[in-house]
Amino acid sequence: MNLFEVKDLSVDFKTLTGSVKAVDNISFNIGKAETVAIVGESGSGKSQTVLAALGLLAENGVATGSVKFEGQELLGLETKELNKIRGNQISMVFQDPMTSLNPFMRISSQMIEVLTLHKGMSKTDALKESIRMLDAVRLPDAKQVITRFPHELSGGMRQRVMIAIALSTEPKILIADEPTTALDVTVQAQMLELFKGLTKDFGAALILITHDLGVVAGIADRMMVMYAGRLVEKGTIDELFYSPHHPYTFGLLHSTPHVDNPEMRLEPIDGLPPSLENLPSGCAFHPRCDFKLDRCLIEAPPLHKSANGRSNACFYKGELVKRSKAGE
Amino acid sequence: MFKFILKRIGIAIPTLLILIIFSFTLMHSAPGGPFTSERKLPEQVLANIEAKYGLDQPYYKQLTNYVVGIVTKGDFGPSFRYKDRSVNDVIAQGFPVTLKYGIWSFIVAVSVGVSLGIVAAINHNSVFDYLAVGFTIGAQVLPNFVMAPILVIIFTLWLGWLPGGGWNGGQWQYLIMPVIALSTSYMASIARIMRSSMLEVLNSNFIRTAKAKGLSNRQIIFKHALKPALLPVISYLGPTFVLMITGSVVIDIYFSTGGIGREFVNAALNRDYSVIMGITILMGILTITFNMVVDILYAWIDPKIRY
Amino acid sequence: MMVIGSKKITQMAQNMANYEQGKSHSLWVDARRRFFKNKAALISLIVLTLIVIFSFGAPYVTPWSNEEIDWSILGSINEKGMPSIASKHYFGTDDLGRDLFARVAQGTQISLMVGFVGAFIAVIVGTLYGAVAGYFGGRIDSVMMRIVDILMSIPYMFVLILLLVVFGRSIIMLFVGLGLISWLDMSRIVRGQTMVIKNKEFIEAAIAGGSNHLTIITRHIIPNLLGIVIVYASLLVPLMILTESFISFLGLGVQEPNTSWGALISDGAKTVLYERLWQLFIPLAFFVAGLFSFFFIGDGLRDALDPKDR
Repeated sequence: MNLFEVKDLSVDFKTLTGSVKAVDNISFNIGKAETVAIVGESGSGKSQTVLAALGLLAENGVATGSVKFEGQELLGLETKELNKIRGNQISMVFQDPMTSLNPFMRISSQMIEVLTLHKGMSKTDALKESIRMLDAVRLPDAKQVITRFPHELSGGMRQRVMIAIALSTEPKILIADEPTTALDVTVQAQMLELFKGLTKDFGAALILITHDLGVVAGIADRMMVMYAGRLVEKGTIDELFYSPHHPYTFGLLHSTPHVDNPEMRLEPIDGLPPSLENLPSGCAFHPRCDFKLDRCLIEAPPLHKSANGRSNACFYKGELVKRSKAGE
Repeated sequence: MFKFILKRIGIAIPTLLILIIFSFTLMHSAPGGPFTSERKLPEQVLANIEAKYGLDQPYYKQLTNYVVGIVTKGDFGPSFRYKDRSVNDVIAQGFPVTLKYGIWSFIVAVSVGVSLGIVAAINHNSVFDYLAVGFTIGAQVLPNFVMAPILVIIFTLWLGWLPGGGWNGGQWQYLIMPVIALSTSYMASIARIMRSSMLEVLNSNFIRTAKAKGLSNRQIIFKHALKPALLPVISYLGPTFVLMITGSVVIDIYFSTGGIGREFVNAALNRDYSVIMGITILMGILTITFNMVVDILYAWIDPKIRY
Repeated sequence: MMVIGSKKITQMAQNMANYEQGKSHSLWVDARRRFFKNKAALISLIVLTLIVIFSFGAPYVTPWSNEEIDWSILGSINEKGMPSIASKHYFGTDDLGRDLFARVAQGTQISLMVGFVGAFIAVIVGTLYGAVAGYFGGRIDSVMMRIVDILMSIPYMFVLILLLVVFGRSIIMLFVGLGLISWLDMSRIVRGQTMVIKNKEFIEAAIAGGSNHLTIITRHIIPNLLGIVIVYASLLVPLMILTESFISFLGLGVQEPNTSWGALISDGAKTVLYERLWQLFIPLAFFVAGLFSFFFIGDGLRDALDPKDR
């Protein structure tokens, strides 16, 4: 049994003009203490996938399919039962540390409440444990910091607080949704280091959601690439980085700067991510694809397993090589 | 915090002085003295009366006397119409009545308005929510002077349950209609503000964090959402208070409750300057003090305001 | 009587200030199209037009004037004073035997006039005050805004009544008094927007071109405030009507034989226990329909002029 199993998950949002599919029939598994990255542009459905799993979709969102944690179905689970799992067994760190902490409560009460709720600790014990957690995320002067309000802390400090809250219940899975995007570049590196070290120390699996391949390369074991709500490719980091099979993964890699190969020319993917309300026919990527075939315009390629255990969703089977574009 | 309070008092006092000086000057510059309106008095009698009320003294002297009287003794001077009544007598008689149904109305408007707003927001897009929104829109055209006769038609004329006016020492039967009439439209405003601010807060990132923590709905609403959602309501309390004080005049007139509003309108009709001025200043003192308390309360709740 | 949802207006002010100045022509065309697509606003506009037509057309329809007493029905108003086509008292009569149809028409004229004139005065004073404070900024601004703060914490209705008593109760004084106590919110909003506009390039160009302050304020700043001013004014009209009604309800507003919605409601309210309910409900119906129309039109104008969704 896998720790976390997602099967045929779809997420739809009802809007005034109809229904929008944010996540389209995706499946994946995550094992114990594994680090998996979900990569995609904004609007690719990567965040909605995990929000759906934890019952955190916006009011007009509906999730169908199945999400199992240790064999227990999470979709459709009563809030009361779900609340025993989220924040306890599965914790989440959000993108924007500036707004994700309650500005009207001191750090101490925001930390203590999870421990008293899930671990049944007394307030004094919970406070001690919280201070210990703040030390663990390497926040200097934890005893002082814990008495403050969020607006008195910097973005990096707040994100450390968020991580401390998330890890304080010793969850089996930590989900981090773009945890470094809102932070300074210098702080980003420290934060990734922290994630890597802590999940190892705590023996937690890490689901890292990001659009930044540079972040993924450093810490993930496996990665999944999403485009317009669909999973287009998944495999280990080495496989995807050194021999991508899907043109979108290929495009992403060539549009990300590499520290080890600064000479490489960056080539952004042409065009913009499609609007979910108005998806292209067939494969949603075809308008931006250099390798498209005729059938890509009519038919969406399914995700299929190739011989070596990798999966990708593309009809094109040839080699992916950079093509110089007309007029250049 | 202490500094903030001091600063706030530092604003309140000059405001009050300006109100007093403004009212006094206005009265003083009124065309014709307070005793010139009715039948002509003989020259000598008029001079005697004016001397008695200190009206023969220069303007600044009268003003200083008036201000000193209010500040040191809480004395608003004599009534110009009733020989043996001072403005303080008029206030002492009517104010307790106004205060009683006023406080009740305020409590009802705030407590019902806030709860209505919260319940509507939690059940967003439910039937209850639609009803609540309908009520807040409809109540815009139900000010106190419309509510009062409608209540009398329903509860006195048709149902015969409640007396159509009077006070009777403030028994509950006499209290109900004044309180409903005075509080309805403000209750609706408070409910509208509360609902929209609660909806905004419930959609904020930190509430999503609270949900992700596994907190129950009750904990999320009362521990995380209530305080920030209340802030806009708190800043509306000042205006509500002013509007209710103003509305009390209608209540006193329509229900004959014997509150201070009746005296105010009578004084206005009789040009009893000192009573109008006294009541205006009293209401000013109440309003300014209340606004100050609300500001301090706001600063105390919102950790982002540094004192 | 009520506080306009100032948050939405402030939001709109920001949206407008950020909107491309050069496209102002299409902004107005666009706004008109959007306004006429708004059903509630459109119906309200029709209702309001009907009310206006009624108020001016009524004297041609009824043989009664607003002051004339119908002696034939005095003493039996409950039976003979009811609304009836036969007696030609279409809305019945009031307590003194005067024709209510004519009186409602006349009261409607007064209430609408008070609404528009009061709002006009408030808008002029508030716009100029706010534009000056926002344009000059610095110490002038902080002193001017502190004055607004102080005035805001004064129970204005009492001051208005005080004004009416001192200067005599006349319609003109009512207009002026209402306008003078209602410009405070307007000035705050205008000030905020002026501060944004003042930093735009075309103002800098005007300064560089040697225009003086007065020209810049009247030629460049105020025209760009037009949208927000229109919306705010449209919401001020019903508030003015409400305030006037309040004062007239107390018997301190318009003087006999003139009347207004508030005065008519007041008269009707006094007789409910004699079961002459038409005397209350007919003016009340006009009052409610009129106020709702103004609120929805104001709302429609705000949605139409707010450039946020474009």
